[in-house]
Amino acid sequence: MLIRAGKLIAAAGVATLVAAPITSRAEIHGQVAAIDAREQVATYSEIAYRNYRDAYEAALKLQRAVDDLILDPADDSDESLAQLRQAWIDTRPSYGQTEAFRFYEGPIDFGKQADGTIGPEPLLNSWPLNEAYIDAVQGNPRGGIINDPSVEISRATLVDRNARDDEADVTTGYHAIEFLLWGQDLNANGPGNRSARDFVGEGVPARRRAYLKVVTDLLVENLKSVVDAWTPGQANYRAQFAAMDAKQSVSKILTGLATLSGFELAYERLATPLDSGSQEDEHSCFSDTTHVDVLANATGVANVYFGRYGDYRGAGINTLLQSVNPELNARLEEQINKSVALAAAIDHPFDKTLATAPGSPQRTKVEALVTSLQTQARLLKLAGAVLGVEIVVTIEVEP
Amino acid sequence: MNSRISAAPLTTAVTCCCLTLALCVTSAFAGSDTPIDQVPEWLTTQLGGDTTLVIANENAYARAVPTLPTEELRKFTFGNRLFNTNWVTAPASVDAFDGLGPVFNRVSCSSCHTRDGRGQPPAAGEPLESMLIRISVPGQTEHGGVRPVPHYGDQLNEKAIAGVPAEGRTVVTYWEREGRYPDGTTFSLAEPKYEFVELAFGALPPQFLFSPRVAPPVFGLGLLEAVPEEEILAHADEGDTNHDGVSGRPNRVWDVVSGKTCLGRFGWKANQPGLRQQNASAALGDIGLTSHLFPKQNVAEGQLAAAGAPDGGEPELKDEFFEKLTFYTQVLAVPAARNVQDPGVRRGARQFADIQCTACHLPTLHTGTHSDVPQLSHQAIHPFTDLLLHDMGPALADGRPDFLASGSEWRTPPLWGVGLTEVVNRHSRFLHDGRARSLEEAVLWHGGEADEARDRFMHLEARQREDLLTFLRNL
Repeated sequence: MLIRAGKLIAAAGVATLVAAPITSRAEIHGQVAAIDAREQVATYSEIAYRNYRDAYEAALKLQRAVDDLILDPADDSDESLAQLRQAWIDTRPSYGQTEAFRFYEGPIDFGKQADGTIGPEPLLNSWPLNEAYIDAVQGNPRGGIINDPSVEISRATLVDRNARDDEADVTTGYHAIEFLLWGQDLNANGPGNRSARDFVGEGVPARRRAYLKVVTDLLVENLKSVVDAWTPGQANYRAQFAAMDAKQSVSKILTGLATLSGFELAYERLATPLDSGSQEDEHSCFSDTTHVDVLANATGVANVYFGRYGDYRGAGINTLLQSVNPELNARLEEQINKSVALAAAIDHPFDKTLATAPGSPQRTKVEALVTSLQTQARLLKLAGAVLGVEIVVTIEVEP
Repeated sequence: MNSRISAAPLTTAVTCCCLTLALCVTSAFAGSDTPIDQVPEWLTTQLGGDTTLVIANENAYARAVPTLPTEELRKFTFGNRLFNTNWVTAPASVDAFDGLGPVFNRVSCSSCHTRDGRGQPPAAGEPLESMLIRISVPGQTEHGGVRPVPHYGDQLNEKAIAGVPAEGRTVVTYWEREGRYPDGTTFSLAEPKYEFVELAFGALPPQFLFSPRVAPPVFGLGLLEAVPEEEILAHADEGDTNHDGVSGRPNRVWDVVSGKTCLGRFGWKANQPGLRQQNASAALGDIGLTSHLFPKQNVAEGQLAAAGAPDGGEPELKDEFFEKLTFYTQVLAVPAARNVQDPGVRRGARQFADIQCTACHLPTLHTGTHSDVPQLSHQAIHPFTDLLLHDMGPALADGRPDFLASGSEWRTPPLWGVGLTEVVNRHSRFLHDGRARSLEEAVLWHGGEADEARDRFMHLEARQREDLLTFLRNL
């Protein structure tokens, strides 16, 4: 478990390199040092396990709330629906942090990119979601799968239809559940406001309940699969990850962090909605909880970098970089902390920011976060170069 | 109004051609086994040069070239957003994304080019979802383009916004045609027939011409855009001076920006000079979005309700959006070929060269300097196209000339990424109208300049044919 790490960069000085494009990786060869990454890899695996376990347990609570609804289909009280919505909101911080474990063909997303297999991610967290594909929307009161009795509501049909003919025709996952619980957000100052009565009675409401049950069960099941993949002491991905060449595992870890920072969060989830001004591009648009997702993503990166999660403390990537290039590590620590602070400070609901004019104070705050995440991604790529590992910010276009 | 047109000018020719293939083949070509060490030098995983991405899942066509700087991805991401945007009728609350129609085929780019991939024809009797029908009457405009059909235009728009009639509807049916390889193996090809019904503006004129087109994949286009004109023209052989039965000629088409006739490069008949015009033309013709290239709504004369419909801004596709959309289509990466060390793939590549598929499906081109995206410059690429027009024979002819392209000429389509069609788009329909249900059927439909190459394919032993198809499936 040894990594060859470049030394040249330390002498060159971080400030210059940060400003320079990272494409000049050829310059970063030179004296190499051996580094042992066993502790960092073990810490990463433990964080992944604990984080996915929390996401899974939160989903189990949501599942129990959905089962209660199914058991009592006559319950049209606003309190029950509010509880259900709260259970969904409670699933998001933990799942959002796990997105630091994406983007490198790990258990969550792509299985093996090169042979076409796909992990559970597209079924879990796909967006933007064309809600009209699922249920009635304003202007089309009998639209969507739920209102089409010719479509059987089953696991098989919903999985088969997920993004089948259009990337936005998402049928499953967090945001499908979110839409079922809140409905369209037609309110400038608050979230969607679906009536509890939408779930009461036979016919279409029964189909809506059945839909909610199928996609919630599927969510739980898919999260269980990633918990299993990271459970200690099993013949699973975690074991393979521990046995991997250190360069390979560190490359995956940094690729995940850089891609979540510089691409997925900075561009897909922040810049695109800023550039379009459209609520459609907001990550959790029905519940108006996008700011929670943003903070969770930024925190997920920090967890891995600093090697901590909840009350667990291990050896972060910072300890690896510290021994090779303390200046770069200091810069990265500062940048990651800054991104978390900026993420915590954005206004909510996020769609109100989108409705403001270019240059507004609200937009300026989000742009500052985008910039910070970009810098963070560049520094992470630089860290990869220093440690002698390849980092490609792979672009995932969400189905 | 419900006028019906029987539109099957090709039926007789197709039937004759396919049924007699096995009998009329007299080529002296005898397939040879390929020693593994004699693989073509162009067989590589890096089909897009340094811009190639190793990926083989359903997002294989949907990613940016990996050499793009991270900072450029903001444009790419927004371009992807635009590509997936479901445009809505104007006026709408989301002002930036209204302007659909008044007549259109689909509401987004991605609904035809799903996951940036290939469209397909509908099942018999079903509506067209990821293909469309180009229409015209004989003759040429002052710039050499097609003459639109009075009251309909140059494309049948099968959908329209509320209060505006759709132009009509296409009904596709198929006829099975049996054929036989020289070794006795039988096959069956499906020949499409088209009817146009529910025509809103009266019967189509008797001399009416039409061309069915499925949506082609949209990755790798920036690389093709960057191939210098001289390199393309160097492969042209209009008079077949080398007597290989394959001519290859450039289309010359109208460039609306320069106001000049230019080399045609994109589209099934190479009738578009560049990506900007290609994209603007598709935005207008398929979705009904005006742009600075085509500021006038797509409304044929006499369509009164459409002419009175509100627009979504001037233009509807803002310049800034249009540039990002163009950038997106320039930088979608070519996926890497797979299993190039596999003996079957290597033998198949050799067969592909030996039977001279490569005369048109040119394995290697070189990019020059790409003015917008430096990462696309100076790459050796392997698109398997010469970007030239070839006569593909009567069976595939649409009978609808387009600039210099005759009614039986088509631009050689690229083959890179073709083996991932099933993974990305969950179907295996090929050719301009999607009639081929497999790569093998696509090969068997080849005619005209490709007669001899197809005959040579048919004369291969079954295992050699399988090798060639295995090679294609790994592109």
